[in-house]
Amino acid sequence: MKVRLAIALLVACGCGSEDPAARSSLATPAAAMERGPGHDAPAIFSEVAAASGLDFEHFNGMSGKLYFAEMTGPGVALFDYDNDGDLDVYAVQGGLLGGDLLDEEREAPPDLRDRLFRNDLSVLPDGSRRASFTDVTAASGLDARGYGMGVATGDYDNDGWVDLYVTNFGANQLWRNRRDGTFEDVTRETGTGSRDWSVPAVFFDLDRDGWLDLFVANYVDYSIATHKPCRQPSGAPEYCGPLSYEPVADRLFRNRGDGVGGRVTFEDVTAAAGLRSAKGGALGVTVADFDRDGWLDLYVANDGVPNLMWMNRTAAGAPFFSDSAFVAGNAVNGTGQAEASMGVSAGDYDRDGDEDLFMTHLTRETNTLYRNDGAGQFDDVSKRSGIGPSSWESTGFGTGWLDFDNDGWLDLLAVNGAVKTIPEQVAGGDPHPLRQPNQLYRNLGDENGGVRLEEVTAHAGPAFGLEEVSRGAAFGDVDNDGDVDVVVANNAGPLRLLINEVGQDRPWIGFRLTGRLLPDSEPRDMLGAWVGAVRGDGAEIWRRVGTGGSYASASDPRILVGLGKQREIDRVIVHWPDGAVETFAGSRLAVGRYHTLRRGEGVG
Amino acid sequence: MRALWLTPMALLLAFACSAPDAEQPSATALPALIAVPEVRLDAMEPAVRRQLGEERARLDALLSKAEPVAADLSLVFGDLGRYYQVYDLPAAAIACYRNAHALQPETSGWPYLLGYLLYLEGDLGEAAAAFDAALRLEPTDAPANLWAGRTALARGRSAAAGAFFSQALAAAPSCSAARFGLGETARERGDHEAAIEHYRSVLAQYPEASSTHYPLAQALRKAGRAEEAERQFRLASENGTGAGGWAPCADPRIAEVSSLAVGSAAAVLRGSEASLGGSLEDEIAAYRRAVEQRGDDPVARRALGSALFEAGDAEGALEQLEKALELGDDASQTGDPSARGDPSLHYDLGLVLSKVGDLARAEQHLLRAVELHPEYLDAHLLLGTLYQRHRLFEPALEHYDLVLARDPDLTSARVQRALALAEVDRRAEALADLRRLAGEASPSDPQQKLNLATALAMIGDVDLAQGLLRQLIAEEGAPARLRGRAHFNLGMLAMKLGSPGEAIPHFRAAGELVPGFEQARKALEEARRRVTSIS
Repeated sequence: MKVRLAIALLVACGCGSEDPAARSSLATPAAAMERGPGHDAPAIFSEVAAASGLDFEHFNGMSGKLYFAEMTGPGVALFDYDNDGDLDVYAVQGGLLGGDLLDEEREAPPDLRDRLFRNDLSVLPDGSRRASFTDVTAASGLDARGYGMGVATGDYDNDGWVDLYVTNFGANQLWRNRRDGTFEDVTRETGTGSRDWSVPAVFFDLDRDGWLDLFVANYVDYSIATHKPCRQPSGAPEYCGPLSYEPVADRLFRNRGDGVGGRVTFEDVTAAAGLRSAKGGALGVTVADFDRDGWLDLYVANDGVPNLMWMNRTAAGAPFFSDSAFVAGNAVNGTGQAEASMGVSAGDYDRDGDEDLFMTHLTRETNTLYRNDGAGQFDDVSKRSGIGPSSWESTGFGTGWLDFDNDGWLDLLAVNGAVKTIPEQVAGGDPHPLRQPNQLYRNLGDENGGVRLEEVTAHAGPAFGLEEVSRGAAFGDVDNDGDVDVVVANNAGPLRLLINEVGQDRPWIGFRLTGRLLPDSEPRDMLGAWVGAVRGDGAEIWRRVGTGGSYASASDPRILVGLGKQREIDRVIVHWPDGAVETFAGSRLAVGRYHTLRRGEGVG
Repeated sequence: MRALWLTPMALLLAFACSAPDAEQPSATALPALIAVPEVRLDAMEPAVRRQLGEERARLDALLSKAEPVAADLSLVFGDLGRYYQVYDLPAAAIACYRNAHALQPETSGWPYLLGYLLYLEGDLGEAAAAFDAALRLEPTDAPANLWAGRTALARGRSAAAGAFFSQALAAAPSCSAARFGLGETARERGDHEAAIEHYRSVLAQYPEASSTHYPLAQALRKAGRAEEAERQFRLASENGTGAGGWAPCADPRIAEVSSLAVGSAAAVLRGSEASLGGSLEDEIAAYRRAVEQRGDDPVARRALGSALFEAGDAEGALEQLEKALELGDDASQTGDPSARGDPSLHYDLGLVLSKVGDLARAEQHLLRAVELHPEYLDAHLLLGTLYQRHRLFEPALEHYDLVLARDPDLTSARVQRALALAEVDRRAEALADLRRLAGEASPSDPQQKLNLATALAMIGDVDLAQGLLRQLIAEEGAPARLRGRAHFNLGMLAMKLGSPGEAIPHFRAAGELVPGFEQARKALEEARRRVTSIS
C-alpha cells in the first residue's frame, strides 16, 4: 500500500574440452563460421516466417500517449498442441489501449486475438525438412482477446495434452487442451484467474506430487487510468520506467491434483508459501535446482530492483520458499547494483554440472552472467566471460541458452528492443523508435581455463541485421532436424522464425522425457527432469527439461544434446522431478534422432 | 542506436551539421568534420527548444562565415555538444565533441566529455582513446583518470585500470569511486584481501555507498571469511542498493553540463534522482526549481506537492496539488473521455486532505478517484479508513470488502476490516480473521505487524498481541520508530492489565528509541505515579 504520493519518477528503464583444430577441420557452415570473418560462412539462421506461413503481426495499439503496457509484450510459445510430433506456435497479440491510434489513417486489425499456428512439417525428397504453418485459431476455440503479454505451457491436468496459460495486461486465462485440437477457457473453474499485470508464468511441480503447479510473475500496479506522464530531460514525452509504479507481488498456484482431465483446480498459496515476503516488478522467471537438493527452485528477474531466488523449502507437502538471492550472490550485479532484468535463462554453460544464470538488461547496463559454484553460490562473471561490454548498447528481452552449432557447449541468443525512445529514430520520424538488432553469442568452451563467449551476430544471418523491437523468444527444433530454431516475437512487428542452418551438420541426439506419475494419468513431458548425457569420451552434458525462461515465452520441452566430434553416447542419467534417478544405456540410443525416455524404463 | 552510430570512419568533408544549406568550408586548413545527427525539437519544452535553437543558430552563423576560425568553431561545437548531452541526446553530443576536439586538439575538456559519453554508450575502445587524449593534456586530472580506469576495467585491462584509479586517488583523495575502482581491480586479479580493504575504505569514507556491502561480502566469501561475508550480505540486503560504489566524485565539467538544463522537466528528473538517492531536501529543492522554471507545469507542481507531503508539510503539499489539478494534470490522461481526470491526483489530494482533517473534501476526491478507476484499491482502502474514522462502519466495510475481493491477502485491509467488524457486533468474526492472519502468514512488514498487534489488542486477544509486539521488538532490521511504538503498546497493555511496574521499562525504551515521543514520556510519568501510589 502506498505511503508516498503517486508521483511519477522517470528513471530512465568438466568435461574434456573440444579440440579446436578438429572442429575447424569440419567442412560445415558451422566450421566456416568458426574461422571468423572473411571466410565464406553461410548464415547460421535463416528467417522463414512468411515463407512458412507464420504470418503474424503484433499490434500494440500505440496512440502516442506512451502507455507503459504497449511496449512491454509480447511473448510466444513453441509447443506441440496436437501431439503430432512437431512444434506449433502460439503468438500473443496486443490490442487497443484507449485513445486514438498514433497513425490516424490506420485502423486496428480486425479480429484482434492471440493466434495458434499448426505446424505441418514435411520431409522433402532431398531429405530436408520444411515447416509449414496454418492458422488454426478459429477452429481451436482459442478466443484470447486480452491485451496479451506472455504464455506458459504445461499439461496441468495430466491428460497427455499440453495446456496454455496466457498472461495479459488484464485478466489472465488458462486454456485446457481438449485433446481434439480445441481448447476451452477453464480459468474460473481452476481458480487460476488474476487481474494483475502479469508478464511471465511457468508450470513446474513444486511439491513433487506429480501435478504441475503454476507460478505467475507480476509486473507493476499500472492501469491506463493511473498512467503518469513521464518525460525526457528536454520535456519530450517518454515511456515511464518501472520505478514510477508500485511493484505487484507474484502469485503461486498449487495444483490440488483433484482429478485427471479437466476437473483439476488450483489454490493460491502465495502467502502461505512465503512468496509475499518480497516483490519487484517481475519480467522474467526460470525454474532450476540451483542448490542441487532435488527440489525445483525459482529465479525471478525484476526490473530495476534486486532479483529474487526462491529456494524451494517445501516439506511435508506444504509449499514454502525463501528468497536467498542476496546471500547467493545473484540479487544484484557484481558491484552491488540492481539492474533492469528482463529475460532470464538457466543453463550449464560451463559444463560443470550445475545451472548458471544469464539475464538481459537495459541499455547502459551489461547483460549479466552468474556462474554457479555448484553449491548454489553465484559469481558475476559477465566481464570475464566476454558478454558484458557487447551488450551495453542494447536493451535485451528474450534470451536462451542454445547449442546452435551442436558442439556441446551452450551458446546464447539475446533479442533486443529499447524501452526509451531513441532520439535518432525519433528524428527520423519512426513511430516506434525503440528498434535495436538482436545478438548471438558462441560459447568458445573451456579452452584457456575459463569459459568465454564471443559475439557472432555478424555471422548469424540477415535477420540479425534488422532493427526491430524484439521481446519474446521461444526455442525449439521446429523442423526436427536436430538443432535449435527460434521464434522471435516483435512488439508492433512481425513474428520471426529463425531456422538453424548449421547445427544439424554435427552429431546430435535428442530426448523427450515423459512419465506417468499417477496410475490413472496419461504420460506427459516431465518438466523439471535433469538429464545428463554421458558421451563416448566420458564428458557429461546436463540439460533441464522445461518450457519456461526467456521472456514471457514458452519453449520446446525436448532436450537436444550436441555431441561435437563425438559420435556416440555412453549413457543417459535422468533425475526425474519426483526424485527418482534412472540410467538409460547408450547402446540403445542412436545418434542423430530423438528418443523418448519414459520414467520407469531406465535402470533405477 | 547502433545502426545510426556515426563512427570516426564516417567522416564527412563538409560542415554538414545536418543543416541542409550549410556552406562548404573555405579553403582554410580545418580538419575534416562529421555530421551531427538531426535532433527533433518539436516535442521539447519551449525553453529547451529555444535554447537548443539559439545554440544551433550560433553554429550555423559561424559556419556561414567565409573563413571560420578553428578555435571559435571548436568552442561552438563543444557548447552545442554540452547542450545535447544535458538533454540526453548522446549521438548528437558525441558528434559535436568529436568536431570540437578535432578543431582544437589541445583542449582537454572536449575529449574528456567525448570519452565520458562514449563510455556510457558502450563504445569502450573509442572511449579509451578519448580519455588518453584528455590525459595527455592533463595527466593528473582526477575525473579523466577515474573514467579511464572504469573504461580499462570494463575492457578487462585491470592492471591499467589500477594505475588510472591510483592516479585519480592521488589527485583527489576524497574520491571514493577511485578507491572502489581499486577494490574492483583487486577483485579482478583475485587479491581478495586487498579488495576487502578498499571496499571497507569506501564504506568508511562514504557510508551512503551502501551497495558496496555487496562486493565486500563477495570478496570476504572468496577470502574464506564466511561469517563476515554473511554479515555484509545482510547489510547489503537491508540497506538496499541505493548509492553505488561508483557514485561520482567531484567533476566540474559534468556539473557544468548539468547546470545548463533549462525547463522544468530536467529539474523534475533531478528531483526524482535525488529521491532515489534518499535526499528529500535535494528533491524538494529540485522540484521548487522546476516550478520556478515553469509555474504552469502540472507535473512539477505535483512532484513538489508529493515531496512536501513526505516532508510533513501537508498544507504546502495541498497548495501544489490543487494547483496541479487546476492546471490540468489531465495531460496525463487518455483521449478516452470516459477516463478523463487523473485518479491518482485525486487520490493524492484525498490523502493530503484527510491528513489535514478536511474529511469532506478528502471524500470527494477519493470518490472521484474510484469513479474514474473503479479498481483503485489504494483509494478504496483510504475511503474505508475515512468512513471508519467517521464511525460509518457499513460503508467502510463495503470498501474493505471490495479491496479484499481483489487482493485477499492485503494485510492492512484485513486489519482495518476486522476493526470495523468489531464495531458492528461481529467481534468473533473479526477476531477469527485476525488470528488467521497472525497464524497463516505473520506479516513480514513491521508496520503491518504493529497494526495487526494493535488491532488484536483492541479486539480482545491480548496474549497474541503481546506476542507479536515482542517479535517486532526482537527484529533487528525493524525501524527504531516501530520498535519504539511496539514498546509503547506493550506498556499500555501492561497498564491496562494493572501492571504499571511492567509498563515502565517499555515506556522508557519507547522514549529512547523514538526521540521526542511525548506520549511515551507522559505514559512513563503516569506509570511511575501509579507505582508510587500503589506502594
